[in-house]
Amino acid sequence: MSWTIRRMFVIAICVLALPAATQAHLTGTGLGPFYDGAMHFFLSPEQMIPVLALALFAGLRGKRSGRLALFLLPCAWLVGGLIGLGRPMAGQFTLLACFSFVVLGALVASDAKLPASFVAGSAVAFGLALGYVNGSDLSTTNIGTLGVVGTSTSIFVLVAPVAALVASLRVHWTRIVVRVAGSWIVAAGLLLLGWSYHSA
Amino acid sequence: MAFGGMLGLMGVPLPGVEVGIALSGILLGLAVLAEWRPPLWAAALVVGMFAIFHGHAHGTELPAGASGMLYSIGFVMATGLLHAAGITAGLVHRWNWGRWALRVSGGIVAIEGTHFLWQALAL
Repeated sequence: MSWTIRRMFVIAICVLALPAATQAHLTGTGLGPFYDGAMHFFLSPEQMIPVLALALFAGLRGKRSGRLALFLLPCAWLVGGLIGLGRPMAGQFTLLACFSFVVLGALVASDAKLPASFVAGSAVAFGLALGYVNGSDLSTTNIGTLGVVGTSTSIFVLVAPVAALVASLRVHWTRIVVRVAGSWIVAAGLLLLGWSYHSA
Repeated sequence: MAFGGMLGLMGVPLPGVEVGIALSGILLGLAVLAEWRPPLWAAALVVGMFAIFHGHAHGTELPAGASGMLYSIGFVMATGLLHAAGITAGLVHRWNWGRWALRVSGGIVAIEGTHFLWQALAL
């Protein structure tokens, strides 16, 4: 047995001899609200789909746009979310969801050749608006600030691989697939608009 | 489809929805049977026009109490995946047997469309 293995064996024995309390549940770690906020985002299509659309659009516009969206969108969302937590607004935000679906989906579907500054501006504007709605939603729960941080982190986790993957696409038909996804988002937005009138 | 669905959900009336759907079956079935190859704009116009009727019918059938968001996403995904399935099925056109299979399928769709038209006019 080599000296390194013997040393690692002794360390392992020491660790096993000094057990600490097991933090198997989130209530014990204090990270519950963080994951609640993260899951709230992934389980809310009206929030996740616009973010997905923006990631697709940023990816279509290239690496620089992708990087800008990757950092600006979660930051703007965090700011909007904190404002929403502090000054929540009650009510339905279906029209905002419809608007974001249709506009961002149309940008993806048309593969609009817009500069990186436009992508950055869109990321900030939609991040603030949708983040505010998210913060208003979370203000009715006891998730709080940590929940908004969890949501912003989820956005980063979603935008990073999506924008990077789309930016790396070179084969023509793969970009068409992305544009088709954009048209699906527009279609869902139109139907949601119809539904909001239906239920009004 | 989505535009038609939106009109249906909003309660905007569209006359002759059933007839439009039946006619789409007949005309598109015949187009497949005859291997009609129109210019892209004409194909898009025909498909888009008929899609409004199909979408409208779905829009008016929204079940009470259903989630509008999930219904919208399911509607769009089902429509898109059906189109993808159709495009994939069309790939057999490169083989002789495939061409005939597609033409026969088009004929069957046209016959079914005629059946639907008969029912729609009889109502």
